[in-house]
Amino acid sequence: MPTIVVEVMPKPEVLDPQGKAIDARLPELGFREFSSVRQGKRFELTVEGEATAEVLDRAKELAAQLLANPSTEYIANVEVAK
Amino acid sequence: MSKPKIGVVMFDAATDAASVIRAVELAGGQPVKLHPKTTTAPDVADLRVVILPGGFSYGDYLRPGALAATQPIMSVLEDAVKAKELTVVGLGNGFQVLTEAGMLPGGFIANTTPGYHHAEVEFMVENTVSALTNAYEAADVIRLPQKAAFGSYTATETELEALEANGNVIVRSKDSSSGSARDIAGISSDDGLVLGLMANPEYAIEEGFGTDHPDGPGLGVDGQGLFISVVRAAGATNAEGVVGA
Repeated sequence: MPTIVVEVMPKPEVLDPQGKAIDARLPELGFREFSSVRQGKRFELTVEGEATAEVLDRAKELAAQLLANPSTEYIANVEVAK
Repeated sequence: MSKPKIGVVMFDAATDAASVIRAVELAGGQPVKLHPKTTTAPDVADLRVVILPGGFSYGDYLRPGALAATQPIMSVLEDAVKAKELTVVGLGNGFQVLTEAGMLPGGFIANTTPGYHHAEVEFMVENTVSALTNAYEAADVIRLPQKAAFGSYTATETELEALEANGNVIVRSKDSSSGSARDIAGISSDDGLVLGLMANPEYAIEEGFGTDHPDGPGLGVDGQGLFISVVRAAGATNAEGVVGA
Protein backbone atom coordinates (compact mmCIF):
# COMPACT_ATOMS: atom_id res chain seq x y z
CA MET A 1 0.00 0.00 0.00
CA PRO A 2 1.37 3.46 -0.83
CA THR A 3 2.61 5.74 1.91
CA ILE A 4 2.44 9.50 2.09
CA VAL A 5 5.14 11.18 4.13
CA VAL A 6 4.45 14.43 5.98
CA GLU A 7 7.35 16.37 7.47
CA VAL A 8 6.79 19.09 10.03
CA MET A 9 9.48 21.45 11.33
CA PRO A 10 9.60 24.17 13.97
CA LYS A 11 9.25 27.59 12.32
CA PRO A 12 12.65 29.22 11.70
CA GLU A 13 11.84 32.11 14.03
CA VAL A 14 10.68 29.80 16.84
CA LEU A 15 13.29 28.54 19.27
CA ASP A 16 13.89 24.77 19.02
CA PRO A 17 15.18 23.72 22.46
CA GLN A 18 15.37 20.05 21.44
CA GLY A 19 17.49 20.82 18.40
CA LYS A 20 19.71 23.06 20.51
CA ALA A 21 20.25 20.31 23.09
CA ILE A 22 21.37 17.93 20.31
CA ASP A 23 23.52 20.65 18.75
CA ALA A 24 25.33 21.20 22.04
CA ARG A 25 26.67 17.62 21.95
CA LEU A 26 28.16 17.79 18.44
CA PRO A 27 31.61 19.37 19.08
CA GLU A 28 32.45 16.82 21.74
CA LEU A 29 31.48 13.98 19.39
CA GLY A 30 33.75 15.39 16.73
CA PHE A 31 31.04 16.72 14.39
CA ARG A 32 32.34 20.19 13.61
CA GLU A 33 30.88 20.31 10.10
CA PHE A 34 27.42 21.31 11.33
CA SER A 35 26.62 24.71 12.77
CA SER A 36 23.11 23.92 14.01
CA VAL A 37 20.46 21.21 14.38
CA ARG A 38 16.71 21.61 14.21
CA GLN A 39 14.45 18.74 15.14
CA GLY A 40 11.19 18.06 13.34
CA LYS A 41 8.67 15.29 12.92
CA ARG A 42 7.97 12.79 10.17
CA PHE A 43 4.55 11.18 9.78
CA GLU A 44 3.84 8.20 7.52
CA LEU A 45 0.28 7.86 6.30
CA THR A 46 -0.67 4.50 4.83
CA VAL A 47 -3.12 5.08 1.99
CA GLU A 48 -6.26 3.05 1.45
CA GLY A 49 -6.02 2.29 -2.28
CA GLU A 50 -4.09 4.50 -4.67
CA ALA A 51 -2.18 7.64 -3.75
CA THR A 52 -3.99 9.91 -6.18
CA ALA A 53 -3.62 13.68 -6.38
CA GLU A 54 -6.86 13.96 -4.39
CA VAL A 55 -5.48 11.77 -1.61
CA LEU A 56 -2.30 13.85 -1.54
CA ASP A 57 -4.47 16.94 -1.17
CA ARG A 58 -6.29 15.28 1.74
CA ALA A 59 -2.91 14.56 3.35
CA LYS A 60 -2.03 18.25 3.00
CA GLU A 61 -5.38 19.12 4.60
CA LEU A 62 -4.67 16.75 7.50
CA ALA A 63 -1.18 18.22 7.90
CA ALA A 64 -2.57 21.74 8.09
CA GLN A 65 -5.46 20.84 10.40
CA LEU A 66 -3.75 18.51 12.86
CA LEU A 67 -0.17 17.40 12.21
CA ALA A 68 1.34 20.91 12.28
CA ASN A 69 0.50 23.80 14.58
CA PRO A 70 0.85 26.98 12.50
CA SER A 71 1.78 28.99 15.61
CA THR A 72 5.01 27.08 16.13
CA GLU A 73 5.54 24.81 13.11
CA TYR A 74 5.40 24.67 9.33
CA ILE A 75 4.77 21.83 6.90
CA ALA A 76 8.15 21.18 5.28
CA ASN A 77 7.07 18.42 2.92
CA VAL A 78 4.10 16.27 1.89
CA GLU A 79 4.84 13.61 -0.72
CA VAL A 80 4.14 10.06 -1.79
CA ALA A 81 7.00 7.90 -0.51
CA LYS A 82 9.15 6.43 -3.27
CA MET B 1 -28.29 30.56 47.11
CA SER B 2 -27.29 27.57 45.10
CA LYS B 3 -23.64 27.06 44.37
CA PRO B 4 -22.45 28.29 40.96
CA LYS B 5 -21.89 25.39 38.60
CA ILE B 6 -18.49 25.06 36.95
CA GLY B 7 -17.91 22.61 34.11
CA VAL B 8 -14.72 20.54 34.16
CA VAL B 9 -13.85 18.69 30.96
CA MET B 10 -12.60 15.18 31.67
CA PHE B 11 -10.06 14.74 28.89
CA ASP B 12 -8.49 11.26 28.74
CA ALA B 13 -5.37 10.99 30.89
CA ALA B 14 -5.59 14.60 32.15
CA THR B 15 -4.05 13.95 35.55
CA ASP B 16 -5.09 17.20 37.23
CA ALA B 17 -8.85 16.94 36.67
CA ALA B 18 -9.61 15.41 40.08
CA SER B 19 -7.61 18.12 41.86
CA VAL B 20 -9.34 20.86 39.86
CA ILE B 21 -12.73 19.40 40.85
CA ARG B 22 -11.69 19.50 44.51
CA ALA B 23 -10.41 23.06 44.16
CA VAL B 24 -13.74 24.16 42.66
CA GLU B 25 -15.62 22.57 45.57
CA LEU B 26 -13.39 24.20 48.17
CA ALA B 27 -13.90 27.58 46.48
CA GLY B 28 -17.66 27.22 46.85
CA GLY B 29 -18.54 26.04 43.37
CA GLN B 30 -20.35 22.96 42.18
CA PRO B 31 -18.20 21.05 39.67
CA VAL B 32 -19.97 19.42 36.74
CA LYS B 33 -17.99 16.80 34.83
CA LEU B 34 -18.19 17.14 31.06
CA HIS B 35 -17.32 14.34 28.64
CA PRO B 36 -14.97 15.37 25.81
CA LYS B 37 -17.21 13.64 23.25
CA THR B 38 -20.17 15.84 24.15
CA THR B 39 -21.54 17.44 20.99
CA THR B 40 -24.80 18.84 22.28
CA ALA B 41 -24.95 22.35 23.65
CA PRO B 42 -27.49 21.48 26.41
CA ASP B 43 -24.62 19.94 28.39
CA VAL B 44 -23.04 23.37 28.71
CA ALA B 45 -26.17 25.49 28.32
CA ASP B 46 -26.63 26.10 32.06
CA LEU B 47 -22.95 26.71 32.69
CA ARG B 48 -21.24 30.10 32.75
CA VAL B 49 -17.71 28.80 33.14
CA VAL B 50 -15.95 25.67 31.95
CA ILE B 51 -12.43 24.70 33.05
CA LEU B 52 -10.06 22.65 30.92
CA PRO B 53 -7.82 21.04 33.55
CA GLY B 54 -4.15 20.30 33.02
CA GLY B 55 -2.06 17.19 33.17
CA PHE B 56 -0.85 15.68 29.89
CA SER B 57 -4.16 14.91 28.21
CA TYR B 58 -3.79 12.12 25.64
CA GLY B 59 -0.23 11.59 26.87
CA ASP B 60 0.97 14.88 25.32
CA TYR B 61 1.12 12.87 22.07
CA LEU B 62 1.61 14.77 18.80
CA ARG B 63 1.87 18.09 20.70
CA PRO B 64 0.62 18.92 24.21
CA GLY B 65 -3.08 19.73 23.93
CA ALA B 66 -3.27 18.95 20.21
CA LEU B 67 -5.42 15.83 20.50
CA ALA B 68 -7.67 17.29 23.21
CA ALA B 69 -8.23 20.31 20.95
CA THR B 70 -9.82 18.03 18.33
CA GLN B 71 -12.39 16.56 20.73
CA PRO B 72 -16.03 17.28 19.86
CA ILE B 73 -16.68 19.31 23.02
CA MET B 74 -14.21 21.98 21.88
CA SER B 75 -16.47 23.20 19.09
CA VAL B 76 -19.42 23.26 21.51
CA LEU B 77 -17.37 25.45 23.86
CA GLU B 78 -16.13 27.65 21.02
CA ASP B 79 -19.71 28.23 19.79
CA ALA B 80 -20.86 29.16 23.31
CA VAL B 81 -17.95 31.60 23.67
CA LYS B 82 -18.79 33.15 20.30
CA ALA B 83 -22.37 33.58 21.50
CA LYS B 84 -20.92 35.37 24.60
CA GLU B 85 -22.60 32.77 26.80
CA LEU B 86 -19.55 31.07 28.27
CA THR B 87 -16.14 31.69 29.77
CA VAL B 88 -13.53 28.97 29.19
CA VAL B 89 -10.49 28.68 31.44
CA GLY B 90 -7.48 26.49 30.63
CA LEU B 91 -5.01 25.57 33.38
CA GLY B 92 -1.60 24.09 32.51
CA ASN B 93 -2.21 21.64 29.69
CA GLY B 94 -5.69 23.19 29.41
CA PHE B 95 -4.00 26.43 28.27
CA GLN B 96 -2.13 24.41 25.63
CA VAL B 97 -5.47 22.95 24.49
CA LEU B 98 -6.87 26.48 24.03
CA THR B 99 -3.91 27.58 21.88
CA GLU B 100 -4.11 24.35 19.86
CA ALA B 101 -7.82 24.96 19.31
CA GLY B 102 -7.04 28.48 18.11
CA MET B 103 -9.11 30.02 20.93
CA LEU B 104 -6.04 31.84 22.30
CA PRO B 105 -3.06 33.17 20.30
CA GLY B 106 0.41 31.65 20.34
CA GLY B 107 1.59 28.19 21.25
CA PHE B 108 3.96 26.21 23.45
CA ILE B 109 7.38 24.75 22.78
CA ALA B 110 9.69 22.49 24.79
CA ASN B 111 11.18 24.07 27.91
CA THR B 112 14.29 26.06 27.06
CA THR B 113 16.25 24.11 29.67
CA PRO B 114 15.78 20.42 28.88
CA GLY B 115 13.22 18.21 30.53
CA TYR B 116 10.07 18.14 32.52
CA HIS B 117 10.02 20.90 35.13
CA HIS B 118 8.03 20.75 38.34
CA ALA B 119 8.74 23.73 40.53
CA GLU B 120 7.09 26.39 42.60
CA VAL B 121 7.14 29.68 40.75
CA GLU B 122 6.27 33.22 41.80
CA PHE B 123 3.86 35.05 39.54
CA MET B 124 2.70 38.64 39.36
CA VAL B 125 -1.03 39.23 38.85
CA GLU B 126 -1.38 41.99 36.26
CA ASN B 127 -5.11 41.95 35.58
CA THR B 128 -7.63 41.92 38.41
CA VAL B 129 -10.88 41.93 36.44
CA SER B 130 -10.62 38.66 34.51
CA ALA B 131 -12.76 35.65 35.38
CA LEU B 132 -9.58 33.99 36.62
CA THR B 133 -7.97 36.80 38.62
CA ASN B 134 -10.73 39.05 40.01
CA ALA B 135 -10.07 37.95 43.61
CA TYR B 136 -6.57 39.47 43.57
CA GLU B 137 -5.22 42.99 43.96
CA ALA B 138 -3.03 44.52 41.24
CA ALA B 139 0.63 43.45 41.51
CA ASP B 140 -0.18 40.64 43.94
CA VAL B 141 2.62 38.09 43.93
CA ILE B 142 1.38 34.52 44.11
CA ARG B 143 3.33 31.29 44.44
CA LEU B 144 2.04 28.32 42.48
CA PRO B 145 3.32 24.96 41.31
CA GLN B 146 4.14 24.79 37.64
CA LYS B 147 4.74 21.47 35.92
CA ALA B 148 5.33 21.10 32.23
CA ALA B 149 7.68 19.69 29.64
CA PHE B 150 6.41 22.06 26.97
CA GLY B 151 5.90 25.12 29.13
CA SER B 152 7.49 27.86 27.05
CA TYR B 153 4.86 30.21 25.67
CA THR B 154 5.66 31.59 22.24
CA ALA B 155 3.83 33.90 19.85
CA THR B 156 4.66 36.29 17.02
CA GLU B 157 5.84 39.80 17.92
CA THR B 158 2.55 41.12 16.53
CA GLU B 159 0.55 38.79 18.78
CA LEU B 160 2.70 39.65 21.81
CA GLU B 161 2.34 43.38 21.18
CA ALA B 162 -1.44 42.98 20.88
CA LEU B 163 -1.61 41.00 24.15
CA GLU B 164 0.35 43.73 25.96
CA ALA B 165 -1.47 46.65 24.36
CA ASN B 166 -4.90 45.24 25.21
CA GLY B 167 -4.01 44.35 28.79
CA ASN B 168 -4.48 40.68 27.97
CA VAL B 169 -1.42 39.47 29.87
CA ILE B 170 -3.15 38.60 33.12
CA VAL B 171 -0.33 36.81 34.97
CA ARG B 172 3.43 36.98 34.44
CA SER B 173 6.25 34.86 35.90
CA LYS B 174 8.59 36.71 38.25
CA ASP B 175 11.53 34.75 36.85
CA SER B 176 12.25 33.50 33.36
CA SER B 177 12.77 29.81 34.16
CA SER B 178 9.98 28.71 31.82
CA GLY B 179 11.57 30.48 28.87
CA SER B 180 8.17 31.94 27.95
CA ALA B 181 8.09 35.01 25.75
CA ARG B 182 8.06 38.10 27.98
CA ASP B 183 7.62 35.72 30.94
CA ILE B 184 3.95 35.45 30.05
CA ALA B 185 2.16 32.87 32.20
CA GLY B 186 -1.50 33.79 31.77
CA ILE B 187 -3.45 35.48 28.99
CA SER B 188 -6.97 36.51 28.12
CA SER B 189 -8.84 36.86 24.85
CA ASP B 190 -9.93 40.40 23.92
CA ASP B 191 -13.47 39.73 25.17
CA GLY B 192 -12.19 38.15 28.41
CA LEU B 193 -14.10 34.95 27.73
CA VAL B 194 -11.13 32.69 27.04
CA LEU B 195 -8.37 32.53 29.65
CA GLY B 196 -5.23 30.44 29.96
CA LEU B 197 -2.71 30.01 32.76
CA MET B 198 0.46 27.91 32.57
CA ALA B 199 0.47 26.89 36.20
CA ASN B 200 -1.24 24.43 38.50
CA PRO B 201 -3.09 26.44 41.16
CA GLU B 202 -5.12 23.34 42.10
CA TYR B 203 -2.09 22.21 44.12
CA ALA B 204 -1.98 25.39 46.23
CA ILE B 205 -5.44 25.45 47.81
CA GLU B 206 -5.21 23.59 51.11
CA GLU B 207 -2.98 24.37 54.07
CA GLY B 208 -0.55 21.54 54.63
CA PHE B 209 -0.78 20.42 51.02
CA GLY B 210 0.15 23.68 49.31
CA THR B 211 3.36 25.46 48.38
CA ASP B 212 6.27 26.47 50.58
CA HIS B 213 5.41 29.41 52.80
CA PRO B 214 7.35 31.51 55.34
CA ASP B 215 5.13 30.04 58.08
CA GLY B 216 5.95 26.48 57.08
CA PRO B 217 6.13 23.94 54.28
CA GLY B 218 2.89 23.28 52.44
CA LEU B 219 1.09 26.27 53.95
CA GLY B 220 0.96 28.32 50.73
CA VAL B 221 -2.56 28.50 49.34
CA ASP B 222 -2.19 31.28 46.78
CA GLY B 223 -4.10 29.21 44.22
CA GLN B 224 -7.35 29.64 46.12
CA GLY B 225 -7.92 33.08 44.63
CA LEU B 226 -7.98 31.75 41.10
CA PHE B 227 -10.79 29.32 41.92
CA ILE B 228 -12.65 31.90 43.99
CA SER B 229 -12.40 34.21 40.96
CA VAL B 230 -13.82 31.51 38.69
CA VAL B 231 -16.68 30.75 41.09
CA ARG B 232 -17.47 34.47 41.35
CA ALA B 233 -17.51 34.72 37.56
CA ALA B 234 -19.84 31.73 37.37
CA GLY B 235 -22.19 33.33 39.90
CA ALA B 236 -22.15 36.76 38.28
CA THR B 237 -25.52 38.02 37.24
CA ASN B 238 -24.61 40.45 34.49
CA ALA B 239 -25.87 39.60 31.02
CA GLU B 240 -22.63 38.17 29.74
CA GLY B 241 -22.07 35.99 32.77
CA VAL B 242 -18.58 37.26 33.40
CA VAL B 243 -17.06 39.59 35.92
CA GLY B 244 -15.64 42.75 34.50
CA ALA B 245 -14.79 41.31 31.09
